Amino acid sequence: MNSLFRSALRSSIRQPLVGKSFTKPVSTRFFNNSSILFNQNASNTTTTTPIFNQEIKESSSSVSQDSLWPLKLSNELYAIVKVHSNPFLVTKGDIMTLPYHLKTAEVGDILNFTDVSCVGSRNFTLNDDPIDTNLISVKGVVIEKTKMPMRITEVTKRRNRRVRHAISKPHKTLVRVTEIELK
Amino acid sequence: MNRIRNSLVLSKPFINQSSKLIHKSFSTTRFVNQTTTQESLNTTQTTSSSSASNSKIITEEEASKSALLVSLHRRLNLPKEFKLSTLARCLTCRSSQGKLNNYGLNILGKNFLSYYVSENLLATYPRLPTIILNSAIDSYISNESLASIGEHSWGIEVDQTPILQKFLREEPIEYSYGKLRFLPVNPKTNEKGVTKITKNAGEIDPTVAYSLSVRSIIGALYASTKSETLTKKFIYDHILSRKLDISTMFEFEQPTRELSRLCKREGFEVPIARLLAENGRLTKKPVFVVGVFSGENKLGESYGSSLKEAKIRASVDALKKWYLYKPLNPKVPSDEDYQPGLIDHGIVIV
Amino acid sequence: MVSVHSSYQYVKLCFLGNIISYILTIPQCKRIILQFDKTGGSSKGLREFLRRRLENYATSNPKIEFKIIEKAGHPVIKGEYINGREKAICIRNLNIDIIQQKLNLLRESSGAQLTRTKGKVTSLNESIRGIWSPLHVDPKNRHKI
Repeated sequence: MNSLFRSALRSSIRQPLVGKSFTKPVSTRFFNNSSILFNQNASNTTTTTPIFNQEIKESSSSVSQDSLWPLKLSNELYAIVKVHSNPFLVTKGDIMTLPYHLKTAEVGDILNFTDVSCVGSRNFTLNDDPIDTNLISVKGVVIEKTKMPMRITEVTKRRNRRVRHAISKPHKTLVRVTEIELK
Repeated sequence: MNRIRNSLVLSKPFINQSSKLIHKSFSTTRFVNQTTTQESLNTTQTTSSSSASNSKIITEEEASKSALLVSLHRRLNLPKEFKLSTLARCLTCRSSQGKLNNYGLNILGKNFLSYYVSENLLATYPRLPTIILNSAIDSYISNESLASIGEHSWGIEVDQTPILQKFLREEPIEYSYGKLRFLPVNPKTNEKGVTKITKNAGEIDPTVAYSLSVRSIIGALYASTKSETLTKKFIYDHILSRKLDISTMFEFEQPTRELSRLCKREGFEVPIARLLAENGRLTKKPVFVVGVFSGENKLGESYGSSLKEAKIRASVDALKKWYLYKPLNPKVPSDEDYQPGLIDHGIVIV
Repeated sequence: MVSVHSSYQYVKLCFLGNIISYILTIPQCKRIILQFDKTGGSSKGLREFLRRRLENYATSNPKIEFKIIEKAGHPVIKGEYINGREKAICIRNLNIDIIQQKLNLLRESSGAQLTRTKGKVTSLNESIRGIWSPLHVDPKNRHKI
């Protein structure tokens, strides 16, 4: 899959401006975002055009580190991490629940997630499957290996009085995401 | 209590010795019991006569016999230079046993904590009003916060077992070196349904005792390693890695007015509130979405069930976004590649 | 004027509710108690474990304190956790390998009660992409009644 930034569409959906006097879209997180410096200084430079309307597409199949600059403007990132092709949308500090016993890792081990299909900030997203590991690093630490609460299912058959009680107490592994960073 | 005939404690450094003790306990339990009772008797004698010169200092050998202490040391990933006897000292509060206490180390740790936490907050939120900044620092390093770290995150235990019970359990005296030792406030009064709050001299709350020990561990980490980077990393790992939602701390009295003052001060255009969207104006539960604009820039946006409410909420949103401005990859003065960042004009005076 | 929100006192006091450590590398199990009977047949496996494997096991888990108690009755292993809870497993008639598995179970647990969580990810952070709002959809595309 070709990597591309899906920027303009999402930002326009989430933060449109209804007022008639505003034909130009403006930066939505003017104060909180680091783009305040960007916008203030930009009054004379070429970057005045709002970044949200620029659709950034990579012509080549590989993304270069320089083209990640829209993501680097954000303090917060999210990522979609795949573990055994099971996707988890995570931010820093989240706890992922893996529904199995992670045999190869001990509690306290740091894991490096290599199969990341998406990294994004509020207005920009980088999609690829998987994203090149030279561009980003997503790390987690195993915090607990435990079990789910015991569940007893009553298994019955028709025209039969016998009730079988199927007991299940499956394993789970909790991983805390400690790092989502662009390199 | 009596049925617990023999309890042995072991951890890595003296594992051989303790495993021998186990074998002993299989074969000649009575012998072990006798010796331990003698030991515990001796130790109780020494504790009662705390004026003896030797009992003031906990030696490294004594400290290494406490499995609790060793496991706490390992759990916190403390470096080797941080001696077990120092850790034992960190857990001894003033007036607990007449041993060397953690008071001095606590002051050192307090200075490190307040320095690194305040520089971190100042660098991450350069526009934070002083009153909020102080509260934020406080919520990281107040007694309650540090006590909760000590108790719920590091798992330090309080030495609450009476001496008689220790004697009956044949618990070696070194074992309690791994526990937090302080003189608790005696809440007992003769009146029923009444507890005493005033303390006698030397009595402290468990919260204070816990915070003393946490601060002194940080102080002792620096004192034993002489490394500021290690101390900084320790503080960042254990204290600053916690999530604090500063945006909930704000309370504005006149947000719309404050915002217009702010725009005037900073030379922005006068803020104007505009209705962005609305739903059910004539119904019981209308929703208005209002944005506050300065020229072409939207400063803030929020909702409300009336136009006025939405406007006020939008200005609060704008003010919070101003005060909670976060530079990208903030550097603190103690970093090597530090470059001075934004210096704010201070809060808006209405 | 900015002032500190009155409910801030709550933030200060209920520290754990509001500020939660991001990195939790501290193992939550602080003590494991192995309780055996000197002569009982059901303690045979545990006695064998104490004799043969405990030394290695304790050496490879230096962050946990091991405590051995001799007490009449069936053997029990207990894990004591930083959160103040305790987990006890009766290990009567179990063999040495299964006992080690049970010890691993205590060691790797955080001591919290087993609960079923909603969803795969639990998060304290606000949504980074923002929450979809029907009022922010372009009026042309909005659903009309």
